Amino acid sequence: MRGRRSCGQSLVETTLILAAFMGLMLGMAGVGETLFVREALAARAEDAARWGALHSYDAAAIRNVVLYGTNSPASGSSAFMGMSADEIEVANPGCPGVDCRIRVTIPGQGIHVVEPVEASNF
Amino acid sequence: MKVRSRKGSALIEFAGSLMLLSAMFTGIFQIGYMFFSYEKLVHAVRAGARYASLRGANSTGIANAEFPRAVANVVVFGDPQPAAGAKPVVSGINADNVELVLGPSAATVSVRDFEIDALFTKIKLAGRPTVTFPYTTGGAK
Repeated sequence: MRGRRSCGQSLVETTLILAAFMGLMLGMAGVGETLFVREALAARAEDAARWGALHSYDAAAIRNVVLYGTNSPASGSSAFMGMSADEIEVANPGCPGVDCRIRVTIPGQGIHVVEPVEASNF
Repeated sequence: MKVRSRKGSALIEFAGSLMLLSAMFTGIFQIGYMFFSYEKLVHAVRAGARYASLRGANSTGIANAEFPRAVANVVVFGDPQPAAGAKPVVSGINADNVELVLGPSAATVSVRDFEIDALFTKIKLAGRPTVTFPYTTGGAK
């Protein structure tokens, strides 16, 4: 070892460290993006449930609020992250009644939102 | 120093710095996880208080013996009637940790006797979070 040349050693070390370091950095960015998208989707699900609680029950319109941010999207508008309506479950358990509520579930993302419907809107 | 062997000095330095670094990373994790869990609890308690303020105002709401349980379920599971096997909002919390006070004009929901389990230590919350909502009567009364 003592007699051998050490030219290029730092290049090899840099390559090894860079591979691990880039993996770590890209992993952090990936986890961060996943969390960001999930939170954005959860916020949309809450908006949709709230919209549903304020209007007469219309599951398709509630799904539209999740997908497009509006109950009646313009034709050709693109859905959130390319999602489709069958990924979103909408229900109104307890309606009509004193415990009427709108439930929006996105099972693939573990999102579950319940919004109580105010008594005047049963 | 010049003549003594330097073998192993890197190992000792690494061990020394690792102790400091691991303590730092543990602390960063704990603080981050504590705030993350607390924010989730605030959101859940707010949802519970809102539910209580809406339903507590109903003539059938306050008399119902199941009502505090329904409010606790909204806080813990996000649903007054959660599905079997529903996961709590923060691990370790259950309906007994939720306190509902129905005042004359407002409903107050608090988390009681709960500790956030941040893996290495438990962080005790002294009666927090607490949210109060005035009753929303809507068209019911």
